[in-house]
Amino acid sequence: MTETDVIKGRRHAIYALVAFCAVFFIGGIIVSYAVAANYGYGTGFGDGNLDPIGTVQGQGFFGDSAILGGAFILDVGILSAWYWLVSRLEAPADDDPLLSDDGADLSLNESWYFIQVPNLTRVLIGIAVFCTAGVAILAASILPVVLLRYGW
Amino acid sequence: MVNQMNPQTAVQVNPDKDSVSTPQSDKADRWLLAGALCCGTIMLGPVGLILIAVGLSKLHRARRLGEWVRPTAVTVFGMFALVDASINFVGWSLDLFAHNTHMLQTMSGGFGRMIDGGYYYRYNSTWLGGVSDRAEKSFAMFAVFMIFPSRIVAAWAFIKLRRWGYRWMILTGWAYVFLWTGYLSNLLLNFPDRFGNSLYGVTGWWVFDIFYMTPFLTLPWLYALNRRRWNR
Repeated sequence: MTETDVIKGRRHAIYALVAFCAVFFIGGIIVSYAVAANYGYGTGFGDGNLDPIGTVQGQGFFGDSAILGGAFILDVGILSAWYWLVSRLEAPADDDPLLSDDGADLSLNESWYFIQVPNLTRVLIGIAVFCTAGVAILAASILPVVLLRYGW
Repeated sequence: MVNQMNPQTAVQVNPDKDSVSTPQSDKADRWLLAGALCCGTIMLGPVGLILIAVGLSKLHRARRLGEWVRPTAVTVFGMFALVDASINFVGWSLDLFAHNTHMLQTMSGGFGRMIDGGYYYRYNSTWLGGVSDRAEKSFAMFAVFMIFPSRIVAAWAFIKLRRWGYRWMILTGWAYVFLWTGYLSNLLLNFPDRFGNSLYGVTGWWVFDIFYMTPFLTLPWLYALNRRRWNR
């Protein structure tokens, strides 16, 4: 395969991957509503059946604080273990050296791409910014919404 | 083909001399990291977004001052992966390690009643505690011990232009796609207890969860990059 064929092939594969992503989510949503209809639900919005919920029972202020503190320490431990492991296993070495510098002007965006897809990149950046805000805001809203609706 | 993204100030860069760490970009990275940490706490998400925006504006200013900084797209996709993985990691680890606290039971019960019935139905009834759905719990273990901590460290290393960061962004990206596939299949197979057992059902779940599409957005873009740039 020539370099041009490789670039062309990878470009096609990139767009195929984008198409797969669209199919995954559109298909997933359609199937979800089809399953809902099969179980006798309507739009799926506000027509669910709620079972009774169990009693909320914590461990008191100090008990809960200790548990949350312990969870925090465990999280930091897991993250540190992964950082330690991967940074050592994948460190550049004689049998796996870094790619040599090609002297490109790194201030130019196109130097950072092997396959030039500026329009696709622009669209994906827009969605990524929107999704980052969505993820952070919706996750942060869970507790306040639950407290307003169901109380402590 | 010429990249037609935003024009940037032309800066003469000597890769042998110029380092990824410059005073302004280091300062900006600290803001970005603080923002990601805040988002990772789940409750401080909006504050985290503000800190990330400040970090991005500092990077932009550094570029205008002629300092060498990585392209904006690298920072945006790296932060997207970092924020998403942090929220998933912390959220699921709280269910795994802190399900006996009042706060978690309140939060989980409310979230379950509104979005996903699995989060309140028979909560804390198995020996591992928290969510009782066996498959959901298995995904939680997979998420807390494997995918998301490795994706968090990969995203940060990616932003810092380390080669292993680039490699592991791809690896954990695929793992996340596999997780999505299994997770969605499980949800649909268990419809009556999950979607059907909540107030907002299918629509509520998709409105809440579609934003977690990180790997689907980043994987095509990662394969377009020149991996030679991640050479640290």
